[in-house]
Amino acid sequence: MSAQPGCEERLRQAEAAAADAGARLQAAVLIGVDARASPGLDFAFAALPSSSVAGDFLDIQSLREGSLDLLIGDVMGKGMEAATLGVVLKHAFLRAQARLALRHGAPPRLDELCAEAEASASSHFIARRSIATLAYLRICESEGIYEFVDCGHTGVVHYRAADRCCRLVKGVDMPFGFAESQAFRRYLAPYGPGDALLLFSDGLSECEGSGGEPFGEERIMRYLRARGGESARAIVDGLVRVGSDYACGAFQDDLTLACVRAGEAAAASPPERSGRLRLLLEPGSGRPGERLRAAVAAALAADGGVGEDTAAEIVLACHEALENIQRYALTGGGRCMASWRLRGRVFSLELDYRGPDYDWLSVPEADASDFSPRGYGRAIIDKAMDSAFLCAGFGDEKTLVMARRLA
Amino acid sequence: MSEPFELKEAGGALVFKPLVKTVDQTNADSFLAPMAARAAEGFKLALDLAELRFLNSAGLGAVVMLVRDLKQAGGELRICSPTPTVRALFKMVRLENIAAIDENVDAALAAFGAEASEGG
Repeated sequence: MSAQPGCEERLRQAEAAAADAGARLQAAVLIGVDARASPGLDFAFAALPSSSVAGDFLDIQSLREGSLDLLIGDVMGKGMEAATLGVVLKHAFLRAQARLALRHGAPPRLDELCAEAEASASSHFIARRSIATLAYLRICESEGIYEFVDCGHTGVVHYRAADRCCRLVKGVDMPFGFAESQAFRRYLAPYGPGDALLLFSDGLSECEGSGGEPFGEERIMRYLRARGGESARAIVDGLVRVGSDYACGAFQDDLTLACVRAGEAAAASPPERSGRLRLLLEPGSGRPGERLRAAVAAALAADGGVGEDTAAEIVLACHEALENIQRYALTGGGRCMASWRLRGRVFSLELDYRGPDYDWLSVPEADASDFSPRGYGRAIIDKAMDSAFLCAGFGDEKTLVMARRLA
Repeated sequence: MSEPFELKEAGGALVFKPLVKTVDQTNADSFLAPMAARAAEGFKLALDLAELRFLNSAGLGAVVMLVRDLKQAGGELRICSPTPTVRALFKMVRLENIAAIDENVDAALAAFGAEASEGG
């Protein structure tokens, strides 16, 4: 006759059973892929659960041809509780997608989608005193842009093949579970052939080396800068290997990575109008804004399909963005590379420069009705553009990215 | 130093016409300076922007300040003949909430005149 296990042993068995159930739940539901790579979009992912299951989740799907949606998230805590809340969240997103797609007849905007999902999921998180960070990335192949919403997650690293530069795009929205609802900020940015976009969990960026120092975002960017030209699979596998080596062979937390790499633009892609301008922002160096305005106005006019008012708004916003950099970041002068593009129905402008950090969002937005003396630049940019954000690369590299989807 | 301009009196109002084509951060503070300096007189002012091809946010701020200062002194500012780009800017910030925008100087002067006769 075998002896009955003691309380401690039974507790250990129960915990092991819960961890096992959580792991099965994670494998079966929380990590999901329902998309195929295309010549224009190659993707790969890795999802490595740690010994005690945490709440990472990942979903990759194609809601229509030529677009790819990636949702990555991390529920606070570990075990069955975190896994269950992960399922709640994924379900909320699926339901929101279906509901909004029925309403609009097209894949929903990411900010709307996140708001709809939060409306049904936040009460569960608040009741369980938990939160979830997440990032939603959508690649729109025909327009050559990506859309992004970041709710307290780690951001997205964008490797630009044209100049082999990396930048980290981070949002400012709060994780799910902080409030019943919030207004989400949707970012739009252009990408080009050969570019790579990487989503990653803090299992990579925060894994600790032998000295206790976290792996960090800069190592991720450095890796991508060196190996960004490889396939999505090679990038993901390489990062897992490098991270594992750094963490002495054992990640302390779940590790989830997803990489999308853009191929050459599809032959059926709409024509593109683009240009670049090197601008010197020195006091007394002429009027760089004038050159930028002329170039952007010419590109918009050449398209023929952009209305006069819309073109005027975009030109104004481009000018204000440049002056904003000059006024707040490059006060002593500097150089700025302006790259604009009109592809499909999306206009985008990127302003690359080297300069100190400044809080783009702290610049107040003025209202003429209040007789504000200044602050109209930010208001103009916000009204003229669907998205405008500042992101950082290596050292003092910065990029101000703006985009507008034309009617 | 102020930028070039034309100034005349017509129908009990002043008509101020900046002659610069571009207002940006290099001249936003100066293009309305002659009128800003006299705003405390509280006159009626038709601001003729027919020559102006581009106005940036700082220049817009100068216009808003002139509207405010004239109003506080009992005067009024009407904007005339904005070019398409400048009109688009005004529309974006809803400038019409604080200052009337007229097609041309004659329309602004007529509106001033109508207001004067209504006021007795």
